[in-house]
Formats: sequence, structure tokens, C-alpha cells
Amino acid sequence: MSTQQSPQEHELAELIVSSLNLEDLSPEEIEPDKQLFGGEYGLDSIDALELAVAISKQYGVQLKADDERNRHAFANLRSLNEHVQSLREQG
Amino acid sequence: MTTLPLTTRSLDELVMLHGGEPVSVGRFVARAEALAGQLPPGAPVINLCQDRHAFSVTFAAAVVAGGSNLLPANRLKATVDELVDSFAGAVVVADCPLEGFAGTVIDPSEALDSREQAQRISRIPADQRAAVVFTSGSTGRASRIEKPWRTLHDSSLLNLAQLDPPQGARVLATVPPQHMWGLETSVLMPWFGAVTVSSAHPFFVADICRQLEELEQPRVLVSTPVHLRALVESGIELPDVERIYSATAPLSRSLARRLERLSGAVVTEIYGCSETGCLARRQTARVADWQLFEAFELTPEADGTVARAAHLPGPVRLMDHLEFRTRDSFRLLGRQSDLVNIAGKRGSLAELTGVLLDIPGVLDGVIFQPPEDEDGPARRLAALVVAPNLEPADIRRALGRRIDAAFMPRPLRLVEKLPRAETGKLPRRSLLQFFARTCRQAG
Repeated sequence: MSTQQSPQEHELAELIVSSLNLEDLSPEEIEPDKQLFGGEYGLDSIDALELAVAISKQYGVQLKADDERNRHAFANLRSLNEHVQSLREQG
Repeated sequence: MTTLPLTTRSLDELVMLHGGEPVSVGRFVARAEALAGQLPPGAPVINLCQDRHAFSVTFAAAVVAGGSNLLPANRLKATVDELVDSFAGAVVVADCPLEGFAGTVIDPSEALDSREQAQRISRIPADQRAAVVFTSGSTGRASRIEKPWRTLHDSSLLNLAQLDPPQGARVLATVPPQHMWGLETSVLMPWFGAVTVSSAHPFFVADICRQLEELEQPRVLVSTPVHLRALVESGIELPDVERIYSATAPLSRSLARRLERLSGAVVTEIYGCSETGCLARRQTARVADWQLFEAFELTPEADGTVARAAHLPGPVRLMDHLEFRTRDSFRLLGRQSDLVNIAGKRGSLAELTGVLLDIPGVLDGVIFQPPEDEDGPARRLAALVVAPNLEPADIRRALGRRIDAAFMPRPLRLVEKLPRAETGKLPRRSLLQFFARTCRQAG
């Protein structure tokens, strides 16, 4: 799998960095396949909640964690982006 | 020997909603008794159940079996191993697999599915150690707080009188059952008052709203400022809620007002700590003064305020500076400067700074709490570090090995030197001015 961000993934990475004040991480440094939360980016569950709010403002969609598929969405940048895009299409 | 009942509710009342299943007191007690039969009598039980229903049944089972619930601050293997080593005869009850743990784990699932009805309610010796709550320190060292059954029993009755939830309320909690705030409200409150708690533990705002909508009215939401802020900020339409209780961190007045407007709820903020349980309340949208719960007495002493109550095992020194308005009302003037509370975890800034200074290559540095932005994102610590030959990533990695993730400073900035006074002291005022200058440069 490619480790290059797609334009959509880059936009989401920018939102992650700006909404969570990750000033010493640049959006380009978030690898699409690398564990986003609980890994070396140092993001925890409170960040997930903050990010969900930022995503609802920017994309107009609400994230959920009520089933296995939704929880998997938070694994990495790529899966989160796919999840957000599929919610946008549904909405 | 003084004994107190496990629950003061009658057997046919509804204590919990577990998924689609309404759980009566009789069925709940029968499940607890079935599980108690699997436990060695009097054993300390490391209660690691995640689901609120499983956790509550296990909590009751340990108490009925004459033992106690050990409630660690996390489920890490090292934490569990240490508890097993330090409490003779301790057993683990868990509702999902424990990674890496080699000891025996008791599976509660059979007892949790029981369809039996208990015919009577056990009485528990008032002095029985019913729970031991561990709060995580900044570097992982835990402090230990003992809760005799009398304390849990009496404080539950006190909380019901003071929080005054509507009769028959359905309670949804966004907090886990293991920590004091969740334990008092979402586990114990329904054992002593006419409320029914949902076993759900929603996280994102869409989940919280959906779970609320599934509950009959009147609805009560037990939460924290972090979740409540997300609820308001996300722009989602809030279901009608009668009452919202918030604790664990300061709630801003503007957030309380917006919540009241959007949900129709009365928002009650609760002040307390793991040692005392709930201690005072206020309707944050309207008043600044905290109303002390009856049964508590606060005494100003030279190095802080001491809380006493007949149901507590001993006096408790509070972590905050208080200004008394009357005998039973006060304002909070902030934490004693060294102590911080991030995401429900307590830390000492001096201890954290000590860990930072221990990193090879770090010449000087400080970890501190930046001033609060009332409605800003969740609070994080910040660090300024003098380390000419290190990168921020090196320092974060080194810190990550020794401190809890909640305390990881963000931002962590490298600077040429800190604004120390001639005495070597780092006055907070000059530190914050200096930090603000580095923010402008960074931003």
C-alpha cells in the first residue's frame, strides 16, 4: 500500500494537526497506514473526541463508535478518511 | 456488628437497562449472588469488567462474598500483576480477555445471564472494606483509597439527596464505572434511589444522543466537561434531558449556559475527589458559589482545607484552594499550584519536571500548566526545554517511557534558556509571558 497521502487524506491530516494543536508534527508526516491513536503520534481518546468535533464542523458528519466497523475507522489516517467520505456520501 | 443493606430498593424495581433487557433489583441481586458463589469468600476482587452491567454485578458479588473490589487506574498487565502480588488471595474478574496476564481470570458471563430472582437482600458489615480505589500518580505510582461499605452506603444516600435526580429517571453516563465519579453515579446511585441506569458507555456525541433518545423520560446525563463541550460544539440536535451532572474538571459558565439552552436540562456541577466522593454542588449557569453537602465539614488549616464527615474513614486534605463565603458555601480558587488533574489523572508538576530533567541532554526545562482558555479544547500541559543537541521527538520518546500519556506536554518547545530570576527561581508570571512570546513565534 502507498504511504503517500491522497489529496483528501492530506486535507484530513491538516485538520488533525490544526484541531489538536500538534505544532511539532506537520500534516505530511502523518503516514496514511500508521496507527493514529495510542501510537507514536501520542494521540489519546480525548484527542479522538476533539477530532470528531472538528470533523463534524468541517465535513458536516457525526462519527460514531457503536459498532466494530466504526471503531476500526480510527485505526489510521486512510481508514478514517474513507469512513468520513462514506458518511458524507450517505448524508 | 453493624450491618447495612446491599440495596435499599425493593426486589421488583428496575435498577438497570442492559441493552434491551430491563434488570430488576431481584434479578441483579441473583446475578451477584451467583457470581459470589464462584469467588473465594472474603477475597479481594480485581474488578476489570468494562461493561457497566458486568462491572456492577461483579462489584456487588465481591461485596456479598465478604470481599472487596480493587479498582486499578488502568488495565495494564504490570498494574494487574502488582495488585496480585500485593493483595494476598486476590482474584481477577474480567468480561474480556486481558492481554499478557498469566494468572487465572474468573469469567462472570454465566452469572450475568442468570434469569433467577433473589428473594432477599443481603446485609453487609458496615466496616467491611468494599472497595479500594487507586488513582494514578504522574509517573504511574498509584495512591490507594479505602472505601468501607458504610462510606459507599452513606455517601450514596447523601448524593441522592443532594443531586436530587427526578423520580424514576433514566441515567446515561459517558464515564466509565471504575472511577469514583462513575462509580458513585452510574453504579451505586441506582442501588439506593429510584433511578435506573443504562449500561451503555457512549463516547462520541452521535452515540450519546442516540443512547439518550432510546431512554424514556425523564433523562439524566452523567458526564464530564470534555464530553459536554463536544456535545455543544458538534452542532448536533440534543434530545430533551432533565438533568446533566458534570464533574472531574471545571465546567465553564458559558458552556453550562449553552447546555441548558440546547437541552432544556438543569446543569449541576459536582465538586469532589476520590477520597471524599461528591462534596459540593452548584448550578454553574447561575451561581459561582459551591454549596457544601450536609454531612461534610470543611476546616481551613495552615496548608489547605480539610474535609471531614462521619461516613469517611478519616479526614481528607483537599487539593484545591478554597475561599469560604459562608460556613457551607465556598469558591474554588484553583489547584494548589503543583498538582494538576488531566483527563481525570492526578499529577505533580514537580515530579514531571524531575522526569524531564533526568533525560540525558536536557540542560534545563519545566513542565507547567498554561493558563486556561475557558472554552478551549481539553487542557494539556506544556513544556519549555533547553537541550541544544536534542529534537522534540527525542524528548517526547524519553518522556513517553516514564510518564502517563495524559501528561505528555503539548506543546513541547525547545528554547535557548528559561527566564529564571537571579535566585534561580522561575516565577510563574515571567514563565507565562515567555511562553506567550514563544507561542507567537510558533504560530
